[in-house]
Amino acid sequence: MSAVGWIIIILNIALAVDAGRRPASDWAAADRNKAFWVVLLAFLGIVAFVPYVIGVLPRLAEAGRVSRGSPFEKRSAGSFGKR
Amino acid sequence: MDGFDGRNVMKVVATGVRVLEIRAGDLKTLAQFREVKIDVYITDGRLALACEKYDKGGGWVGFGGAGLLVAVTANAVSKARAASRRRGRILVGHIRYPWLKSVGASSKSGWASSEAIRLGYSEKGSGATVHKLLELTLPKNIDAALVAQEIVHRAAAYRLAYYPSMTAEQRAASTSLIQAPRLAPPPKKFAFHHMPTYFHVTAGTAFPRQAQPGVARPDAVAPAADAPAADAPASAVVVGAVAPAAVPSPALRPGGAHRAARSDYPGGQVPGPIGGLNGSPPSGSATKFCTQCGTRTVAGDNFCAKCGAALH
Repeated sequence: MSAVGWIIIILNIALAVDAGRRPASDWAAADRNKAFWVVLLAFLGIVAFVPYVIGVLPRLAEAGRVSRGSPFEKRSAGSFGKR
Repeated sequence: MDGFDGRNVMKVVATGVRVLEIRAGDLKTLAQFREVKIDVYITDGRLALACEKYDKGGGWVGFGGAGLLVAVTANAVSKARAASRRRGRILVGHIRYPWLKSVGASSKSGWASSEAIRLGYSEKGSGATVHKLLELTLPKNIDAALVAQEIVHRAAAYRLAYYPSMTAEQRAASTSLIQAPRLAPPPKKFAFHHMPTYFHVTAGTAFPRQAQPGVARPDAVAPAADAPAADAPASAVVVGAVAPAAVPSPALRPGGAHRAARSDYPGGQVPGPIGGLNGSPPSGSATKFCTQCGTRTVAGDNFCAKCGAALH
C-alpha cells in the first residue's frame, strides 16, 4: 500500500475516534447522528471523510465551543464516547 | 422573552419531547418528536422549548444496488418535502413556573433508558381536570437530575417572589425547594420534586397577579417619552389585583417531604390531585392585552405600561 493510502487510513481512524469521543450533547446541538457518522467513518473510509470534514466537523466544533463548561454535564470522566 | 425571564438564562439541548396525559393510572402519549434538536431554555420565569427541524423526513432504507439507489432518491425527496413543510415555522412551547406541579428526572441506566426530565402540569377545560407531563429526553452526557434541580430551584424562588399569599406551610415548602438536593432516581424510574401549589394552565395564570407590597413587576417599564402625562403608569407597577387561587399539591406533607419516587405508578409518577380550586382568574378580571404593542395589561390600568397607549 502506498504512503498516501496509509495516511488516508490513519486519518480516517483518527476522525472516527474523534467523532466517537465527542459528547452526545455536541452531536445533539450539531443536529447530527453520532452512531451514523462513526460507523460511516469506520467502514466507508474516504467516502465519508470529505462530507464529515465539510458538513459535520465545523458544526461539532461550534457546538463544543458553545457548550463547553455546561453546568449540567456529568462530572465523571466517561468511557469511550461518553464524557 | 419577558420581564419575568430574567438575565440568567441557561440553555440545554434535548433530543426528544413527549406530551403525556395521566389517565386512569396510565400514561398516554399525546404528541411526540424524537431524534430532533430541541433548544431548551431555563429562565427565571419558565422553561421554554424551540425546535426548528421538527419535521425531518427520510427514513427510507434499501438493500442491494437498486434498492440503495431508490432509498437515496426517496430520502432526498422526503427531506426536501419536509423542509418545504416546515419552512418559516418553528415548534415552540413553554411551561411557566406558576403552572409547574412537579419536576422529575430519570437517569440513563442501560441501553433502553435515557436521561430525561418530566414536568407535571394540569389543564382544566370544561369541567374535568387533565393532568399532563412534558417529557424531555436529554443527551446521555447531560445529568437530567441537575437540570431538574435547576428548574425546581428557580420555580421555588419565583413562587416566593411573586406569590406572597401562600400559607406558611406552602412558603416553608417553597423555601426548602430552593435548596432542594439533586434527585437520585432509581434505575428506569423517575424521581420527583413536587411544588407545594400550582395553577391550572390558562392565560390568566401565566403571570402572578399579586405582588408583595413595594415589589415592582419586572415586566413593568418606564412609559415612552410621548406617553400621555395624565394617569400615566408609574415606571414600576405594583399589581394589586386578586390572584387566582392556587391548587394545593397533595405532595405537601408535614415535615417537608416533597420528593417521591413511586415504582407502583407508571414512570414513578405520583398521581396528580383531583379536585382542588380552579386556577382561572376571577370573573370580571379577564386577561387583556394592549392593542398597540401586545403587552399584557394590569386590571384597572388606563394606559399600557410599555407603550403608553390608552386602554379601553
